[in-house]
Amino acid sequence: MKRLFSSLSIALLALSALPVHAATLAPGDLIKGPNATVYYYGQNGQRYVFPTPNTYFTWYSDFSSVKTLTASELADLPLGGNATYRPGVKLVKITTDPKVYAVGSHGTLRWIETETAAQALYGMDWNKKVDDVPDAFFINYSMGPSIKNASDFSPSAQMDAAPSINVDKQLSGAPATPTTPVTPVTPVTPVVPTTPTSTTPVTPVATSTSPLTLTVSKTVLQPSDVETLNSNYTGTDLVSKTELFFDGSLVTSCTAKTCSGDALVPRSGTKPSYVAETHVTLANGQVLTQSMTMNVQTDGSSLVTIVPAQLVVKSDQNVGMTAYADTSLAVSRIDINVDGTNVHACTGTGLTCSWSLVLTGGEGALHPVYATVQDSLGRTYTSKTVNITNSTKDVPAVTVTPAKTTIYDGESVDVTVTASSNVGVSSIDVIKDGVSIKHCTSGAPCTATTGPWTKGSSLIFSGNAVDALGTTGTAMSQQPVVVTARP
Amino acid sequence: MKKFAAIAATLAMALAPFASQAATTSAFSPGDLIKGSGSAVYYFAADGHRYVFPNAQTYFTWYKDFSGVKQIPDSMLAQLPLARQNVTYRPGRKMIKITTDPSVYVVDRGGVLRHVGSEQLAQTLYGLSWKGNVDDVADAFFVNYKVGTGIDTASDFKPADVMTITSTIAQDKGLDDTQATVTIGSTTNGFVPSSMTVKKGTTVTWTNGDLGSHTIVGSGWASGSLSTDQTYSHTFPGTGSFDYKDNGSSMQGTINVVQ
Repeated sequence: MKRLFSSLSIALLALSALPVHAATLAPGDLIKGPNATVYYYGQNGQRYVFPTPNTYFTWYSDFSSVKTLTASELADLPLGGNATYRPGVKLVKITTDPKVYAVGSHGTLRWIETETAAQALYGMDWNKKVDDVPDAFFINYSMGPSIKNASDFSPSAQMDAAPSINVDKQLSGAPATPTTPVTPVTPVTPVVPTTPTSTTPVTPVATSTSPLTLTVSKTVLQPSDVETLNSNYTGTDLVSKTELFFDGSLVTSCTAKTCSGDALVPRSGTKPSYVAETHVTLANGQVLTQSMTMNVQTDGSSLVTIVPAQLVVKSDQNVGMTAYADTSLAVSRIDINVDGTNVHACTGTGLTCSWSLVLTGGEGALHPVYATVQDSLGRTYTSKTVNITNSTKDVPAVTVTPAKTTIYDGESVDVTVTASSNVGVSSIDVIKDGVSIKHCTSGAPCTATTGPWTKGSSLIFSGNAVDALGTTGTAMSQQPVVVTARP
Repeated sequence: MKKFAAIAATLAMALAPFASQAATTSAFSPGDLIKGSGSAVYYFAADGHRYVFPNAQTYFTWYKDFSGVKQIPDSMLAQLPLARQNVTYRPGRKMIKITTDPSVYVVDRGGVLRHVGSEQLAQTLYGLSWKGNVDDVADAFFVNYKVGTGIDTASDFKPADVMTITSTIAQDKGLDDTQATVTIGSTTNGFVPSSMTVKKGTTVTWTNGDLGSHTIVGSGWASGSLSTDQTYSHTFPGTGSFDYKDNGSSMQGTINVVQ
């Protein structure tokens, strides 16, 4: 016996729901028509389908707030797509693939490489939190980087960063059309996504029957990358025009059989993937197209930084911390999270947000802190997590001060670490990326010359001091040193 | 009081009762239908991916029955990546509508839906009994399709012509039929597929789906060391049966090249 699976739908018997008019709908509402299926009404005016009941229940615990529309009101709302699992809530696997994935933002699947990491993130009973996703809904997800260690992923941070489907899908109030209209080409050639599994450049294959090839310089993109598109038509017909598109925008237009152009990947607010296309118009009017899809590795940690004043702090003492957002972000709010709890939110404080609080714990107790930045379109960027360690003893107070906060490409910068302790400081280290670059054997300020540094980086230094009783205090520089291109 | 019920509608098709204990094979080629020990059938394409049929109706727009479906070991099936898109209706075969949208569409090449402007037009295209040629597609599968320009006159769309020029899923997806892909699985799974038949002039690409590195060696060619996700391509200009192996393990495979 063989069978193919058919659709799963959410059935709901609403006995008491009163019909509402479309005019009273607000983005974020749950809606249904005369039938049982429930939809999410998005910020862009489109309705989103829950492909499985499990998907629904990662977002909602019940059906208490579903509004009922008439069939024609429902039909007037265009379908936008399918909802994906709320990030962080559950683990998923694909029916015919034994790998277990965590769900990250925007429906990215992150393969958890080891059972140890799965246990650390989802507890000893992690295997009871794995849902099977039918093969047919695999296309709703995209592949993100895999999780090697528990520190690569935080279920609670992922959940917090996606409070709604609007946020997770990055839906906005603007009409749901691309900023630049895509030149219509009929018939539309199906986009064959080139799975960016290969890190080697895609090379044109000489024996291809298609006379048109599209190659790109990078098959996996990062924010602010420059992507070079190359189109080559090897047929015999005369070419009247070759156009290259990136993300629906025209990059360049050529009249030759070969055409090359550069596109810039936005530094912030990037999409999960971009499509590059070439459209060749032949002299006989025929239009040939080729396209490729490149995934983007997004990592908010390059755009958001959190810096605690002290990395080791005596239990019951106050510790300050500051979050910095990159200047490319249109910041609407910054949140500081300590021990998985949102402790402070800043709005209208520009690109920084500071807070201090008392951290209590035994010797060696860890307090993870991170910051999230929400931009004006509701997208969330999360910093790397930094651990503050409790000590039961008095800890030397350490400050790390770079001589400058901005340097030019190729310049060096002096970094000074000072420390004080009521029992006396015996040694001080200047540290970069966990490595001591200078060791001073007295309590006097310790200065190291570091660099030269290359542009595009954002430098964080730290320092250690050991007091006469052997207790170590650690601190990070309070503001990153930005290395910029020479004017 | 509200009640929640999940409806999992599955269509069971009784075929040969011995199908479940059919012998498995590790020899299959681009364009073949494959399945594991489970029930789902996939289209194995030139890009080395397996394409999902989201429901039975979609399958039957392309195939009459399940003859020719090859059962492969489950471990091999798991090695084959799922495609980034699902199989859509064969262009021209049927019209479709979305459950909660009264619009009727014809399906054009590449899963493009084109709105049929009037009942007369539907009659012209699909006859007086056109209503019997409209399938309901579940909301959740709407994402498999794109909406293109509508159809205003019968000359805009000729179902029979569109069907004729799109006889395979590879054509519908715009896949290159001079390409084929072999996934380098683990040393226990070997090459997936281990034996493949392609046409003369086909370029075969090996993709390393294993965590370890592999070097594949044929007669007169070798890949160099391939780490995870790296690929190597070789074109087979002449007919014959060509064996190749993995340097450092017992994995071996064959490419049969025919006219």
